[in-house]
Amino acid sequence: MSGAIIALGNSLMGDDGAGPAALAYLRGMPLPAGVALVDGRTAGLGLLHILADVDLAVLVDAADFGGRPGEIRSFTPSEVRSLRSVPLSSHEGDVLQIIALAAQLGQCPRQIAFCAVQPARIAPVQALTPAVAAGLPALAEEVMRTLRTMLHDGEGS
Amino acid sequence: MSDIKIHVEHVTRVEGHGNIIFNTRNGTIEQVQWQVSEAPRFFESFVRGRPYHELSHITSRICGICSIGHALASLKATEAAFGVVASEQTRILRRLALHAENLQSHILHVGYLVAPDLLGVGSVLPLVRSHPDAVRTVVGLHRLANEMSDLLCGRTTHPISLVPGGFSAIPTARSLAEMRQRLLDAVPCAASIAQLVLDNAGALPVFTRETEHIALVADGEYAIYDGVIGSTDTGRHAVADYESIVNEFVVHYSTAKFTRHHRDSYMVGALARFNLSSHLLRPLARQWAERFGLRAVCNNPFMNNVAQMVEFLHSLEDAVVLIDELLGKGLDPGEAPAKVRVKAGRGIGAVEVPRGLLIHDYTYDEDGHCVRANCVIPTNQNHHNINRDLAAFAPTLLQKPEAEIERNLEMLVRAYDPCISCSTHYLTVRFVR
Repeated sequence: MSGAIIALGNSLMGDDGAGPAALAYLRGMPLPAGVALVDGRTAGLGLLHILADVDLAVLVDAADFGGRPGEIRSFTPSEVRSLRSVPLSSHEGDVLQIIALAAQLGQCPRQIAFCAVQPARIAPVQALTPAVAAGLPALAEEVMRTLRTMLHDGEGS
Repeated sequence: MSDIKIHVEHVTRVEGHGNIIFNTRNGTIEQVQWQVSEAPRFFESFVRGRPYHELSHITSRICGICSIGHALASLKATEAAFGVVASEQTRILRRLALHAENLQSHILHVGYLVAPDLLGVGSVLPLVRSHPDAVRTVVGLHRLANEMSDLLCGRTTHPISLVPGGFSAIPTARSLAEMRQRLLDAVPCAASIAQLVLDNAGALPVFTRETEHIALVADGEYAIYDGVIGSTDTGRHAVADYESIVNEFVVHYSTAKFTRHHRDSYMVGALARFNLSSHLLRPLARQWAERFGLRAVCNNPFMNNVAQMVEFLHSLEDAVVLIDELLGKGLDPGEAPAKVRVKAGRGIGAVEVPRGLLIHDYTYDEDGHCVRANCVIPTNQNHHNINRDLAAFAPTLLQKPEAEIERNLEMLVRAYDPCISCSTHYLTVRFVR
């Protein structure tokens, strides 16, 4: 089993940087063997290359799911629909579209989940809002909980 | 004949935001225009006052695709200002880094953004079903190019090991030898993508408009890192004279500057490089150019896509030759960067990046702080030529259905592989009192 916790987001765009910021907490936590922390940030299509190498992936990201700022939710790609309509380009791509592409290419982890925090402000600023910053320890805990569940389910399958 | 009103807001499968306007009335074209609507970036202003060692790191952020090229144009400008001469080993490693970037950028453009046009679909997603092996090959080649950038520059985007005078970290001989083998293994994969492009090249419109092509040229090598400015119209010019080549100007409908030289507009990029230096391509790249029927001087802008594919093969081959040269001479993994002694002065650095000629021009004070900067970006140099091409191409499309006209106009813009965010610049304004 090889797995990755992949932090996504742009630290220059306010709460979009929550994923990379959560890495600071995750680095202090004991990881199961074979699971790596990946600072994926704005990998775009490069995410395809990261996903191709692992059986299991937890994507840590900011997601606007209509919650209260700082609220944490976990979900699988099949449980959500993207409301953005970003055409795939060399600079940006909807992460769900990239996961769909990886799946169609047969280069997608068997298990994949998102652990996401509800952002309050996505704007060109190098700081998280207090509510999102306060949610980071809980986000890191949720990542570990999700990972344990996936590893447990993976053993059973 | 019914009137046509096409307004393509934000052309897709290009980087950044640009619009195409096309209006006809009673069968006569009233307006055809390429507009750049992206917000200006102000990089040249915010490097002012910064110390010399920060400049390549700041200006590499102009672009997420050609960040290596920006870093190298920047370092060349800084080194020229201070009279620093980098070693031969540095020169070879930097050329390898530029090849990595060309490989990365060209396969992204041809494989993900142009292939859907060639195969008649809207994006790369349907291609996964119709051509799964080809898409897998494109993903693999893109990954190889990213990992080559990691090896040479410390990371895929925004290099960290490229510093004034040389490298802060040099790849080991073993890692270079491994990369050499992977590049050789990639040749058949690249040839399979070239074959796919060739098999579908009939989808590229046949359109010719004579224009001037400008790129770096050098004796004995297909210029990407060193050279002087070459023009298909006017021959060779010193890099120091670049301002009289680019002649930047502003237009009211665009946030990007435009340029012109000997004619009303000129083109830079893979096709311009090919037109000026095709005789210096490596053998396999030359063979593929022949197969594509690409011959200098080619004035069909759609063939820029083909020139990118030819250059992809050239970069694979040339990178292998460069690694052989490095390892043959004995790589010095501990070579320190050349010493920098700051002084007041001006330096100009020019390199070829995937989209064409890139120039950085800095003036420093005696403490090594930047007091003035000018960056001339390839896409800026192409905007005016895109406009002139649209004006010549649009009348040939009038009999087609509106959706077909729109698709053709977008394909023309896309052929230039424009990087619009990079090309938006500050405007020089005058207050009217």
